[in-house]
Amino acid sequence: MKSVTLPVVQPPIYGYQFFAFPLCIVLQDKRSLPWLYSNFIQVCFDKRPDPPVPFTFYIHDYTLNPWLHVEQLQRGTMGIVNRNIVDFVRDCLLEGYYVYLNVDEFYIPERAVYQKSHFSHDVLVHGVDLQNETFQLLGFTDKQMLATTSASFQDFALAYDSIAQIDHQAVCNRIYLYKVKDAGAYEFDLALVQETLEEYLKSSNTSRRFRMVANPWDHCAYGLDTYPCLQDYYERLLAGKASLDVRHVHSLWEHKNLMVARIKYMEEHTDYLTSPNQLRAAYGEIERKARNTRNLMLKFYMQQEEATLHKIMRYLDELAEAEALAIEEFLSVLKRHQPQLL
Amino acid sequence: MITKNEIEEKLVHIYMSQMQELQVGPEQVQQSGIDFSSQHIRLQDVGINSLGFIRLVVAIENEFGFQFDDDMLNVELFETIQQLIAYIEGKVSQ
Repeated sequence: MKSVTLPVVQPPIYGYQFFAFPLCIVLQDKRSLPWLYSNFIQVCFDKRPDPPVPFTFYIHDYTLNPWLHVEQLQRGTMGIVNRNIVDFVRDCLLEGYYVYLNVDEFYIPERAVYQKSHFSHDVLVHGVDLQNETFQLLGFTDKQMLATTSASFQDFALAYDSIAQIDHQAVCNRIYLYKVKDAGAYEFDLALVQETLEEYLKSSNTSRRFRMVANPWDHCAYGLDTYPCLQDYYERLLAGKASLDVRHVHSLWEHKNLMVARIKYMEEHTDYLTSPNQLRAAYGEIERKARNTRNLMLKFYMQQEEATLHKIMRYLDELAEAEALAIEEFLSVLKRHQPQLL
Repeated sequence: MITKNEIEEKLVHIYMSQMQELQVGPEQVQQSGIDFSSQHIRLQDVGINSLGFIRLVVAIENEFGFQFDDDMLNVELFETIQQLIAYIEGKVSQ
């Protein structure tokens, strides 16, 4: 066997790679769609100063899903098992494991920082070519696309070893091994969808669902309450007190895009949506405006015109108002189908 | 009134400048140039993704002196370069 490439698909969520990578793997199998569309409803905004992930979907643990077998190591464990990283990753891939870990992209070709600056970033290794001694890595390239590129064994080893020099806080110390779990099962969970929509509408702290394993994330805003946080970010950006970050509005658009896809899925694969025309139209319009907002932010990134930020802030106000009505309509449509659940 | 050929010419110039600056797009495209008058050249074929498209939009706005409608800031709406040229033509003639 001279090469192995484990398959990946383009995921609907790619603003943050830690969400994208598990989805790249499990969404190859359409059986995972009921799980996808039962989840990814709630969003959260981390209100602490300079958080690494300010605004995105709320998920308790991004590695947990019914079709993913996950093994977790610490980087230090590699010393205990006495394997070098290239041999270890190669053998994992040959056994069907995707390897998710952080590397210093200074050593990874086709990355924005390649041979320019040191930067710890996560990658999904999903292929190996033994003849050419290269790994295939999924991640954001220098063309700002989530794509597969190659790195030689030698560069990969340097990129792995260099993390010890640049990630002093060891925040990305873990190595995850992902493997498809063919025996997974999950039925579309209407009650979960209803409950999470309610939580989004009421801006409830969804992390309280997991208080048996972790204290609630009280430092976050949830659901509709994230809109004022986004407005506050743009106020600070206008005042020169925040750095430019396109990810906020990209995540905003991903959420609306997934809501549209969820409605379409529920229409086609369930009988839960009775008379969904108004709902479909409302979320279609919300998705359009969110996409425009994201694209305007990209425009601001290149032009730095304040007027663009003011327009984004106006759109955020309009989105908050429209989405509150749309979620009420969503819940109302579901209630018509199954009133006993509400 | 600017002609369609002049729009094409300016667009080629903008595109080639950006490709050289960003070092994106297939090398052969950069070396040989593109026939923008072809009906079949798609934006994605010449290395323009969503971010690259916004970069192109900003340069087009600066060159031709109009603003793209917010709804049109989406690369997926312009499958071919000719569709982009037609949009520019429509905006500059307003």
